[in-house]
Amino acid sequence: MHPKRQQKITQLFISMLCFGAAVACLLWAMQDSMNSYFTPKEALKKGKVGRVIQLGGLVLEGSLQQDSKGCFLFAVTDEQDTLNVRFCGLLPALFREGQGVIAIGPYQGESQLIEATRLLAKHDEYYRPPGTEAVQRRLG
Amino acid sequence: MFPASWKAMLTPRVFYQTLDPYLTVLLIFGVLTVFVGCFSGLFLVPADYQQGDAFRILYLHVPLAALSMGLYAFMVVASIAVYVWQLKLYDQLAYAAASVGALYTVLTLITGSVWGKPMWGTWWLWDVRLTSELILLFFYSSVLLIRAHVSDRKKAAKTAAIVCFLGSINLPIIHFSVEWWHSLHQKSSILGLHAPTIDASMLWPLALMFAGLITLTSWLMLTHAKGTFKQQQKEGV
Repeated sequence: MHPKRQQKITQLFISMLCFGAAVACLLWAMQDSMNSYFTPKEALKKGKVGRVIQLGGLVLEGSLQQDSKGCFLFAVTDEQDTLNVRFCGLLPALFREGQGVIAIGPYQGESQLIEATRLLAKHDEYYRPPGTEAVQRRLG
Repeated sequence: MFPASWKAMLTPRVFYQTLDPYLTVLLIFGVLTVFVGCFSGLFLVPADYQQGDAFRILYLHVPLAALSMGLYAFMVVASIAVYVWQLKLYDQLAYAAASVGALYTVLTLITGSVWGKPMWGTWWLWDVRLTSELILLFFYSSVLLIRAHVSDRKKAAKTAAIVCFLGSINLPIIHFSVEWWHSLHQKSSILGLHAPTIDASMLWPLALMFAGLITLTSWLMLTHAKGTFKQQQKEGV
């Protein structure tokens, strides 16, 4: 091959490799910012008291209640740790026990309530018609 | 030196001549298949057990998203041909990929947003998957802006190619964002390293949409590239 072309290919390859490595380092360093939520376990480890946190996990089965003011109380779990959330507002359409949720509100520390100002429902990548066996299994 | 088939891959004139007879077929097949795919997705498959009828936008969103990335990958390959071998044909094709790819990226973001509002409860979130797709749009736009504003053809081609290479890092980020980080966006249903998580009864219109959209995209790109070729011939570049 033409030597200049060979040179260009090599240059391109090496530049992209270096650039890729640089980007990878950057992404690794800003890991926490890249996440859209902390799981309860991560929140307990990395959460800063008083700072707004985005807590993501599953709504713990049997934990959904409503208090006297009409606010919802529920626990968010990652099957290892659990944090309690209170939310006074309209629940997202897909919100239910056993479903994924992201609660946004100030973190108050271990076993302290998070007063969520916003809730986002998170759903998984499974698409099924209603009433199929797989759905019965997933919904318990 | 080159056999006939090679010439078709390297020379604009021969390339467009060879593919010209197929253009109408591509258009008709593409439009029909997309139409049947949309119709099926809207009326012939059952609603989802949790998302209800809102999930049907999947039949637009998923093929558009896949192609928004696929076209960028195509653009990367074409840009290598431009950067290393200065092949005009691949410059025309890269430009076509940029135009169509940018459109698909916009449509992906819009359909995704419309889907997200009822399902997640928000039109937008600065989430990795969403943001990286937006960044893809920025790279597409940069490539298009370079071509629009750099007057020297060769310089425009080379600069666009370099910007394209820089943005290519974004492709694995978009695709693996849902695996590498905690994302609001759900994981891959069909393009992951596992069996599809979409029920068979809902999967077939998606296959139709992919087939139809890819065919339609081929028509769009060839028409666009041919137009660029004719324009360049007229300008004598």
